[in-house]
Amino acid sequence: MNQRPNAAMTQTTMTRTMIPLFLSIALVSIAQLLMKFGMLHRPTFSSWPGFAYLIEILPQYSAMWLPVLAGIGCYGISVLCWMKALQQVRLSVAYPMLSFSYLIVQLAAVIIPVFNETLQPQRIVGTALLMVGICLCAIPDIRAPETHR
Amino acid sequence: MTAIVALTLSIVLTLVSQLAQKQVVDDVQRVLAPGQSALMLSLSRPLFWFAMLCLGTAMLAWLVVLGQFDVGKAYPLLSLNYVLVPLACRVLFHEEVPPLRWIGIGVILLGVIVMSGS
Repeated sequence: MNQRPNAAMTQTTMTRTMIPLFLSIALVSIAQLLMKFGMLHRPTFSSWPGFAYLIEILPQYSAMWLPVLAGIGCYGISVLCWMKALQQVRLSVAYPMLSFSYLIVQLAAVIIPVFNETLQPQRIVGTALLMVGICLCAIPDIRAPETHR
Repeated sequence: MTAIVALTLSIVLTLVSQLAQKQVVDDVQRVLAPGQSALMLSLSRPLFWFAMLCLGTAMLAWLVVLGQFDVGKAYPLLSLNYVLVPLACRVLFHEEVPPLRWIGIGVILLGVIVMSGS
C-alpha cells in the first residue's frame, strides 16, 4: 500500500500537508473561543419566553449571535481545510493532532480577560500530558511510512 | 442532565461526521478526473452534506454544553474521540495504528482525566 518516498518528496509533502492541517486546527480554536464569547452574552430566562419574544430581543443581543455566527463560519472553513489535509494524512494520525487546539483554547481562555478563566495546577499537568501524547502520536510508524497514503 | 445528553450527542455526532468526511475524501480521490476540482466534487456528494448535518447538530449540542461549563473544562471532554476515531479508523478503514500511537492516545486520555478533575 505504501511506498517509502524519497527525502525531498517527503519534505514537500510534509509542508503541503501541514499547512491545511494547522490552518484547520487554528480555525477550530478561534471558532471555540468565538462561540464561548457569544454564549457569555446570552440572555438568561427563568422560563421559556417563546419564539416571538426571542426574535423581538434579537437585535439587543448581537454580542451573542454575531460571535456565534462568526465561530460557525470559522468552523465551516476549517472543515474544508480538514478535508484537504485528509487527502494526504490518515484520519487516525490527523485526529489526535486536533488536541493542539486544546492548548490554544486553554491559553487564550486564561490570557484573554473576557473569559476570566484561571489556570489551575491540575490543568497545567493535564495540558502537559496532552502535549506528550500528541508528540507520541505524531511519531511516524517506521514499519509503514504513512504521510503518503 | 441536559448537559450530559448534549455532551454525549456532540461526541457521537462528531465521530460520525469525521468518518463520513474521511469516506468522502476517499471516494473523491478514487473518481477525481484530472483538472477536476476536489472541492466541487466533494460538495456534490450527499455523504458530505450528511457529515455537515452531523457536525451542525453536534455544534448545537455543544453550544448547550458551553452554556453550562467553562470552555477550558468542557473542551477536553470531547477528547474521548481521540480513542474512538482511531479505533473506528482501524475497523472501518483498515488503518494500521502502531503501538506507540495507542500509547500516545492513552497519554492524551490521561491528560483529559487529570484535567476534568480540576
